[in-house]
Amino acid sequence: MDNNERWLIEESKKGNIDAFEELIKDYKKSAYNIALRMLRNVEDAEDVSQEAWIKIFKSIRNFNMESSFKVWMYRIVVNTCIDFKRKKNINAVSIDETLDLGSGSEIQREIADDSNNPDILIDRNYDTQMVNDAINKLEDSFKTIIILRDIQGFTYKEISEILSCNLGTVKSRLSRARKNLKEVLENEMRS
Amino acid sequence: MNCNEVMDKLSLYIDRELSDDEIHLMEEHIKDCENCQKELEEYNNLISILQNLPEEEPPEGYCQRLHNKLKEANASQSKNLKINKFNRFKWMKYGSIAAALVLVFLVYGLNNLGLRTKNEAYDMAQPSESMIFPEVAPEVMESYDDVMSGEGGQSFAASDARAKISLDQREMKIIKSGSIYAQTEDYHKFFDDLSLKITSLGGLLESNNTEVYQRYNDKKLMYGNLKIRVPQENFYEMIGFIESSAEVRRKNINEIDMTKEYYEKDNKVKNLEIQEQHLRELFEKATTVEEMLLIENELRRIRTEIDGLNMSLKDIDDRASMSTINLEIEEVMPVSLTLKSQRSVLERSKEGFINTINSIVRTSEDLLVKIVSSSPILVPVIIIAVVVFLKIKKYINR
Repeated sequence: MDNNERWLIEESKKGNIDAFEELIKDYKKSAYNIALRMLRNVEDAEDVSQEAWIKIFKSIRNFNMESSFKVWMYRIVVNTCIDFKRKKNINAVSIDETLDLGSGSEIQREIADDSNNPDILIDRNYDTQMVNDAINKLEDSFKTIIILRDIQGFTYKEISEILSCNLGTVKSRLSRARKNLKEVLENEMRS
Repeated sequence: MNCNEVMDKLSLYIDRELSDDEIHLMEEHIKDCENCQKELEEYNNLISILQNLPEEEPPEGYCQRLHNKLKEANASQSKNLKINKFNRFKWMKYGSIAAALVLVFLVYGLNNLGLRTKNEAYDMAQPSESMIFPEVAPEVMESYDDVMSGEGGQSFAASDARAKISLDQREMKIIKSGSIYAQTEDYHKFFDDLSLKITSLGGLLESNNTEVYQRYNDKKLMYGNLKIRVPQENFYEMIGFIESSAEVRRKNINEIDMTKEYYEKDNKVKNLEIQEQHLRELFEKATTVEEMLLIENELRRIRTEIDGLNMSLKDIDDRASMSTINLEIEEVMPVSLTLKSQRSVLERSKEGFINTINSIVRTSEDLLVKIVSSSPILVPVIIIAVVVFLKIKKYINR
């Protein structure tokens, strides 16, 4: 944490809005994008990201200078998004979940596994739109970790702090998330 | 490393989160395995796409709206803070009122307590006018064997013999003592009569503490604190004499029966003496230095015990044979003269004022002493209370 940031935090603790805006200037865009990716909706992304900023501003007085402000701030952003989704109950469809078709009949969502079939040749050059769609189809925890690692470029350690889990969990979850994403993309390509 | 293992670790390999050994093994495998090469390529491709996904700009007016919200938040927070401060002041206000009330009750309670103890003392003194003298119940002698661990039949026999001392042979050891508070109109006359009486009864004036406690015009009023010892058989005669020649205001008489204790101790002494003798015999037979030292140590211990017991026996003897009377005698003016002249209102109020000040000082001193003496409990309690209070406050704030 450099001195400028430290000073801005101190000022923000006193309720100085200008200092706070200066402090979050570089993080605003990425926080908004995290929210947008997680919520898939421009309005929600704005509302939730701003709610997170307000939360950060209000609770900055309790921020412990010894830890990283960046990690602390993103943790609040991510948690606010997760809370919002939980409240709105707009969970993305998970491929692991069963589909409820009503009247008690449930079916397992079927995804063909052709990944090892040499006959199917797929053009591996995915375009941006396809990847975006594929990310949106991921389960929330997978989506979150892909956003943090591959899109935002956080280190494993930072991710473990943002998500409050241990490094092992980050490693295994990221591995599964990438594999999952790749499978979804391959399915998209095939169809 | 086989393909499955490589696949599992591909993600970590891409992020360079593996150890050097593992990276080396991975590379070795990937070099020769087309399938894994393809997989790695695909992963790298995917990740580079992810890394280069365009970021959306926040919608127009995002910063302005955030700014407004922050202002709102700031305003409500400072209001909250004010409310908090107000609450704190309120808390302080009510807290101080409560503390003041507690203080008042405490002082009141302390004073009350003081008054009560005085009253109790008075109540206790009252019945002494018609003092009922405790009846001394004859004690049945208990046998005091096994006082010492039997060192042989000889000592057993001895203790048995002593146990057979009958009640009649024993002298009752009763310690009589009295304390009397009396008033007289002529101190010197009373004192002279008293001295004569003491001498005639074969007693003695152990201590005499006389002082002038007040002057009234030309007359000195005397106060004496006397300690009189008389042979126990003349105890009641002495009391009677005091009662007849002075006006007794308080009388307190005690009789303590020390017979049982006395003979218990006496027995112990006798037993110890036998043991001592026995040890001396052993001492003469002792051959080694170690044995001698051991016996000598034991002898010394026994001697000390015997001396101690003898001392308390002597004390009981002394106190039982000579009774003690503590006499407080105060000289007073004849009733007609003791009427105090009416003092002026100013004087009385001055006195009252000083009394009040004194009592306040005394009470606060008492309070201070109480607080300081209870601080080992009070301080931790206060600390705990403060911590709990802060915790609750924090919880409420959250």
